Amino acid sequence: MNDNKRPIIVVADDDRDIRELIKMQLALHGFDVYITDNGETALELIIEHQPAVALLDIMMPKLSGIEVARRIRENPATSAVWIMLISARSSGPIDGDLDGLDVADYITKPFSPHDLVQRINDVINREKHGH
Amino acid sequence: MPIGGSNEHFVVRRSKQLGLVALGILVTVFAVVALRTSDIAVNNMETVSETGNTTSNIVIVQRESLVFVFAFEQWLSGTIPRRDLEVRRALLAERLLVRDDTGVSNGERVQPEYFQALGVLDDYMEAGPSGLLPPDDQIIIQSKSADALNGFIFESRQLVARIAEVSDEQMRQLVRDENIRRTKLYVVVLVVLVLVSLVAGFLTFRRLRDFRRIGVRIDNKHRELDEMRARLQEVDKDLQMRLERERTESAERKWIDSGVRSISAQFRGTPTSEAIAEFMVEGLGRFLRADSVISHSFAELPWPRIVKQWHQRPESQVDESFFAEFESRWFTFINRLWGDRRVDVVVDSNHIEISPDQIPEIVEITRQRARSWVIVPVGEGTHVMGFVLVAMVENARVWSAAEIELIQEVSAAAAGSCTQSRLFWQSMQIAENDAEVGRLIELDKAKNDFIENMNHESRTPLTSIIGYTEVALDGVDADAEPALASSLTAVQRNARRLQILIENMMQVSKTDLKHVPLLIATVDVGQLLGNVANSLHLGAEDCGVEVTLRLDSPAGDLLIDGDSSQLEQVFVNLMSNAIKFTPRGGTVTVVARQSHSGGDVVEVKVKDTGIGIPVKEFPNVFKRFFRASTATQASIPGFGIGLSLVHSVVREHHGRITFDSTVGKGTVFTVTLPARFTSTSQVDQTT
Repeated sequence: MNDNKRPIIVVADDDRDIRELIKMQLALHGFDVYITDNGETALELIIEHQPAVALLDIMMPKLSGIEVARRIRENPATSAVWIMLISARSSGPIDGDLDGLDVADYITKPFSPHDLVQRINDVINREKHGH
Repeated sequence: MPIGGSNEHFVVRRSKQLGLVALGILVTVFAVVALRTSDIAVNNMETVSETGNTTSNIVIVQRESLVFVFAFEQWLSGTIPRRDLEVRRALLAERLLVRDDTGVSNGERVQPEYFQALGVLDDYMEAGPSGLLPPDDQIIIQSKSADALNGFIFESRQLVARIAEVSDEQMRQLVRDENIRRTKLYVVVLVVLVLVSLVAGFLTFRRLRDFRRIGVRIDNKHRELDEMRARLQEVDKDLQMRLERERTESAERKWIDSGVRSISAQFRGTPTSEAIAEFMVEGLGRFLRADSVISHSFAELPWPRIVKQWHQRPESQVDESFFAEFESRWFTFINRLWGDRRVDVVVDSNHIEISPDQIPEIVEITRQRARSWVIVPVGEGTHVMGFVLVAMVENARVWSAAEIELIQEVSAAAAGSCTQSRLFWQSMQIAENDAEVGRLIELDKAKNDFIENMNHESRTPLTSIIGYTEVALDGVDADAEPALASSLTAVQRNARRLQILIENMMQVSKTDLKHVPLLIATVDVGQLLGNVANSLHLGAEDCGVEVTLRLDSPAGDLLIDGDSSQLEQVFVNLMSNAIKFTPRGGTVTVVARQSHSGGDVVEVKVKDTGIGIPVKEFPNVFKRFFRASTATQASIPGFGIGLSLVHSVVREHHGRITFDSTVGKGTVFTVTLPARFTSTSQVDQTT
């Protein structure tokens, strides 16, 4: 899915500082990162770049992270993408139904950037094992 | 002494005796009748022999034969017809056929000559005409039959003589048989008589034996009666003693009842626990003629400690530090008394050995102020409320059971009245607050929604703060730029604390103070307090309040099992409240130590010199949204959430939180938490 050696991550979060923080941190740790502030663009980016992981904030204008996830799974071209959700809720799921979305991990705000990198790597390694 | 039972027995015996005599008479009558019957039988033998006896038969045959001879001669003389003669002949034939007792017929005993002659006569008789014999024939037949007729007469006269020999022998035989029969009868009668006398003798013997037995039984009854009498006397003595005791007890009871009535009558309608306690100490003191009476109820939220005193002489007044100094010891001691349902009685403290169930400090400080005393615990069920101390200052005194009982009953009545007055007071409060509660419920809902939104909103900026600080710290060389590194570290630490605050706020609004699961681990309370104090240090400096942390026990003795983030929340709240409500120049003192009152506990006191809380607001301190009137008057901001959270977390940890406060002087909160099961001090003792 990616010919490049650097794994691709698409990040969607409507908070500019957090987008930038995630981009900065992931770039530092060897990822190619594409960021957007809404779900619609996120979907376009995912179809275009076929990322290893889509990191989606649940609470976004226009299209929520869960809706984006649902469309990724519905589209055969993107169904192999790992999905990680970010939420501002402290505990437990969540608005909307996650059944059948095959969410790889679930991250709550506030999170530690170190922790985030670790968990993305865990998911990617899991994919490698899977193939 | 005759016994009813054996008298009856005697009558039965007597009737048996009479029966026996009657039986004897019957047997005798029977014997006589039997003998007489046998005599009659012998007398009747001749009569009977007319038919059965051989000799009698032959005599009759002889007579009948001679009658026939006479009839034959009459026929020969033509006097009677042949028909009449034939009748006589038939009677004779019949007689000859009769059998005697031996079964032999008369004819068989008659000699052949008799029948030979009779046959000749029969021939003549048959040859003649049927009517009268004609005169011609008379002469012919008379001459021809004369020989036969004489022969027949001779033979007939010989009959009896011939038979006599046989008859004599038969008679002798009969007499012999009769003798044997009589002898047998005599023997039977004799045997019966002997048997009867044997039975009578046996029965008499038995009666004698029974008399002896009755005698023995009467003796036994006498003994039993004596024993019974002795026992009755003992019972009587016992009853007398009991009566005596009951009389004394009922007198004591009356005395106690009158005391309880007269003292507790004052409790009715008394509005406050303090007033009830005042009535009680004075009432007890006067009634018992004691020197001092002190009532002490332990502080118990929302109620503060209440100490009331009455003294015969005012100079005996005891300073409250008397109790405050060893409060936990007092509690342990009273708790123990209450649990064991005992009272502490000291007759003379000049001559006293401290028993294992007393607490030396308590005995020591009490004997400095009194010589003799009674300490009665007061409580309800398993719950200790306080105690009453009745004392003599200079004199020794033996306290009677009735006096102690009086103190117990009066103090129990007082406790009951206090509980009632508290409940009443609380119900009044509830009624007053009803309308406000409804409004607060609505506000609470709005607030929950607000908090939830605010919570979400604050997480996003917090993510940036934590994240950028972390990334920045990654890029800082701490050796080259120590100030920057420590600044960033402080930002990070406080961002984390803010994160915890947000988490806890969320818990409060979400769970509405329902159970929040604890993550139990070993927590060093000393270290935890250090961290909290550090994080609040800057804020305290800004407010001009000096914060002091003192650990009165070695750090290793302050270990508990608990949820460190929630406990941190407890002390952050208590300490930040203390700082917030203390005016510039004041102090906040935090003291932690291990205590042994009521089991091993870690006790933390957070004491400030702040604005304080009015007593009437005490019951509401741990309610959500409660804000002291002193705080609102001073326009000190706050949500009124912190203490309710603290209260529920401490309770979740099986701990206890109490407070005391004086408006304008300050407030002290005391948190006690169960110490870890194995404390290091115990380990030290064993190694």
